[in-house]
Amino acid sequence: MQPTSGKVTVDGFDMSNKKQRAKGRALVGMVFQYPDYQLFDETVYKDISFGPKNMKLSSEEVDRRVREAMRLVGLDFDEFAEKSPFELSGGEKRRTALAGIIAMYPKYLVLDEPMAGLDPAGRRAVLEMISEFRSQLGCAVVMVSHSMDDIARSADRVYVLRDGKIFRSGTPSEIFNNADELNEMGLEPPFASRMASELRRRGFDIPRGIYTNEALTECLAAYGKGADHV
Amino acid sequence: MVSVNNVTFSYENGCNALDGISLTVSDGEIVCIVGHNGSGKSTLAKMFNGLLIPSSGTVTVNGMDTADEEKTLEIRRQVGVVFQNPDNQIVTTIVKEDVAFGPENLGVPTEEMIVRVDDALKAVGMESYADSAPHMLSGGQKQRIAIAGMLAMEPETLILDEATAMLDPMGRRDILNIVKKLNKEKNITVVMITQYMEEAVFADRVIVMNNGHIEMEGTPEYVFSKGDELRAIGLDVPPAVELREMLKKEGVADCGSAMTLEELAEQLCRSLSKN
Repeated sequence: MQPTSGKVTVDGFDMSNKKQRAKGRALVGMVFQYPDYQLFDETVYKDISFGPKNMKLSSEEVDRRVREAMRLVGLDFDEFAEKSPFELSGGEKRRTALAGIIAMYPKYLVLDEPMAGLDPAGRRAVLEMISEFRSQLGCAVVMVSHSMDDIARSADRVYVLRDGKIFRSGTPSEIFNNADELNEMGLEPPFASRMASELRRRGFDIPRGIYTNEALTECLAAYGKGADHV
Repeated sequence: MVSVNNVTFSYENGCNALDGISLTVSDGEIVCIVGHNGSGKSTLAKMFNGLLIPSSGTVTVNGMDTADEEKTLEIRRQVGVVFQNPDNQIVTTIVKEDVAFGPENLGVPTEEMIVRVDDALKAVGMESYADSAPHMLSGGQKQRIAIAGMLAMEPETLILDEATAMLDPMGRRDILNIVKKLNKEKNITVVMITQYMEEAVFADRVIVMNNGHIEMEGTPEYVFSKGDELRAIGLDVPPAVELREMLKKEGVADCGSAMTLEELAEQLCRSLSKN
């Protein structure tokens, strides 16, 4: 997709320029929300190897990367390599789509709602996987998500979009400080920050900037002790 | 009433998706089915209206066997299913035509059809979109249209197969509120399959699936008091219960069986002001 106005560059490559775009694209791996639209080959192995093969890598290297990608996304090689993508459950399909992208070693990994439709363990696993890619492959991650709890757990930096504009940007702590504002936008702040603002409404003196259960528990523990002395 | 009697189901590759499941859903009940990806819960959902037929065992809807092809149409009228992906369920280019699609196929007369479509759209709060194009709607609005399409068939039971999975928090809240309202006001039986534990809090009964069998079953209070067991099979507890567990473990407060933000806040107020 091309901007109506303005310019997007990836490592200096102008994405509106046909020749430069191909180079820029090679650096960016995208995984979409509906894995069904991304899987097409007969077997999981073939599907994951499609990208690296197109990069004209040796077949040994392709095989190594497919195995590594499957390990990173938690798909057992012997169990899944020869399965048809269409036999897989929703979570397994998403892992396959993700493996196909990371096997290309993108410098930037763009994930559109990677946790949607996954069970709690799947959500935890994908979050852990993402941080593992970051440390093992050194790629930057851009994640689009509705789940403020997931963002609270994983992001260094958050952008809040509203009506096509950047409405807020900052660290998770800065963003989740204002739970009421996010609520009004139809976004659900992390549970701990919603709880903190509910307790504030009920007359508790809870400091701002709390967005994890751990921080809230710590704060309430101090609160309980403080009340003892009164 | 839907009865599942000792049902097994295997896909062609031989894996047993359901392994001897028995359960009954009573009229007017809200039942929530939770389980990790691949636990068999979607397969089970497809059994409820005969989209899948058991390999062994039976599923009956008000006494009608889903394996009896002559009953298929009537079963599908009585049991409506809303699926996960809103885009796969919209069939026409105008909202009201989409809602009318099901009853039209049942041969409902035009005058009655108009009333049904109107009522269904009102029930999901989408009456002002009757003439809109479905593809212009948000995911949550599309799911509301899909639910309206089922309501227009006047079903007794509504199955939501992860119908909120692709929605944003506001869309999820809307769908939940509509479902609760339909249950209360129209006495529609609801079977909700979900990955979001906080959605199961409102159910009368929670069924926990694991590897094709029922692992645990009971009230939300009971099921969510078993946090460690749930986590061991890839599930979780609602966020309020997660915080409740932590507060208890750290000796900050015992908040009983609170499962929602409001309940937990209430309990915390009591517990901390007692100190």
